[in-house]
Amino acid sequence: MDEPGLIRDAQDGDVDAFNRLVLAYQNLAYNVAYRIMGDAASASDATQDAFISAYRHLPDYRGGSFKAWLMRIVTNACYDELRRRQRRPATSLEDLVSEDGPDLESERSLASPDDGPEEVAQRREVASAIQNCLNHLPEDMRVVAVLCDVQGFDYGEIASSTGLALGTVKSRLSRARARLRDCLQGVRELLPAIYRLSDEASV
Amino acid sequence: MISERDYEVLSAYVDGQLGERDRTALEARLSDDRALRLALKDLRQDKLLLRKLPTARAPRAFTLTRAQAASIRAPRRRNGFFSTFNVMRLATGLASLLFATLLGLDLARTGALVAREEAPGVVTAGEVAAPQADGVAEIAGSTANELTEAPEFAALAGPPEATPVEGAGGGGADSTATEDLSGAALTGPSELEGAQSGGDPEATPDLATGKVAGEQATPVAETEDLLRISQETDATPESTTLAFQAPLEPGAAPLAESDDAGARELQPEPAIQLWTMAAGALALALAALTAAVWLMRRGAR
Repeated sequence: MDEPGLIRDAQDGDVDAFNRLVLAYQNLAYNVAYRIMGDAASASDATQDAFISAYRHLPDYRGGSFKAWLMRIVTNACYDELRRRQRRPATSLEDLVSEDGPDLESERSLASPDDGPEEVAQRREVASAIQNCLNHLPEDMRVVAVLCDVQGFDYGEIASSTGLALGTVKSRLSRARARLRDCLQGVRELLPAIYRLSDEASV
Repeated sequence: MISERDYEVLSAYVDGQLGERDRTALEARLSDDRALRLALKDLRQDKLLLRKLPTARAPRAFTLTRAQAASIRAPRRRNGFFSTFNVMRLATGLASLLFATLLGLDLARTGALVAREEAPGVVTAGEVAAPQADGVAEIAGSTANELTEAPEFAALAGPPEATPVEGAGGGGADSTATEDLSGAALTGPSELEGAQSGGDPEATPDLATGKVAGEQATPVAETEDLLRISQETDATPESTTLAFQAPLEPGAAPLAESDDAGARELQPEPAIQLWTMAAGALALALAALTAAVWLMRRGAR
């Protein structure tokens, strides 16, 4: 994919070029939004808003990492969605279900097609526990933790995607991990072997 | 229990973000500190947990239809020279340049005014009117000129100015100053007139004294002039004001006009100041707008 060429064409109003960029990045964008928002519906709304915003502001894009530029729009869309959610407290049945963890439809999409029923259930349980811990983090810590530990961004990419200084990223990530450690303490002993580090390797 | 600072160092260590020195120091501590090692193990475990979370697939395509795209924005040239930001920057620069130019002009004018006022060689009407006069006559002439220029201060300046007039008369008593007295008497009526009329009635006896001295030392023609001065000295304070407004002698009038014209020329120019302020305000407003546009663009990126 000729990303710079597609970006130039999209800046000139070529919708097809923009849609090719959307298809290339939509899984990443949705996944980030899903981990930040904690439910599929909000993640979908935030992702859609992010791509609309990206198309609107694309003429102002002046080079650099397109991925970081797009992720910044996605995280901003998530913040907006979280603020909307706070203004309108959840009252619907769907929202009540979401409070207990990621919705089942999303969890099915998270499972690998090769997994057996027991493994699928196990993965769902672990994923649900981790997502619960993420949901209980303050928003600013959650964004940094998702980008670093879930998506594997390095500190520079996180700084570009959030507009934070490197030092802030570092300290915010440390505090997020400290909170996650406390939250995951009870879950850790129940983890399947695939999630465990060998004692010899770690201590 | 490890400190928050230690946990931050461990967190950066797990991500490979520590510098060489910090990494070596931490590894040395890890070999001795079991709590630190356990914390590091938990950190790695949690990082692995989060990293192994299954990737969520997008539930649908988030592509835009042409109708959606058209409603979001019309196609436009990207970042061209005539983009809003560039136009604003150019306008701000031009407004600043205009402001600087007008300010410079205004300052230059003010500087010229100050220089002219402070220049010791400024020619006044009184000095030119009595070029041959000695210091006493010059003082009388200058005083008269000042009073002519500022009649409203005549009453205040009156008593001190009476002394030079007295001196002018007294100068006539000096046998070597016949010409001087003559010069003062011939060229200075208007000045003396102003000086005398600016003086209070107490100046009259002094002038009378001067007149007597002049009679002793000068010809009849000059005595007549002094007599004329003496008669004019009897003028009432009311006539004083009129005397200031009286036209100057033919020799002095053009110079006084010239001086007035110079003063007019060096008056602060309200129009320039007004334009300078307007240009400054415009430059400031444009700079603020340009900064706002820049911040919006930065936020979008």
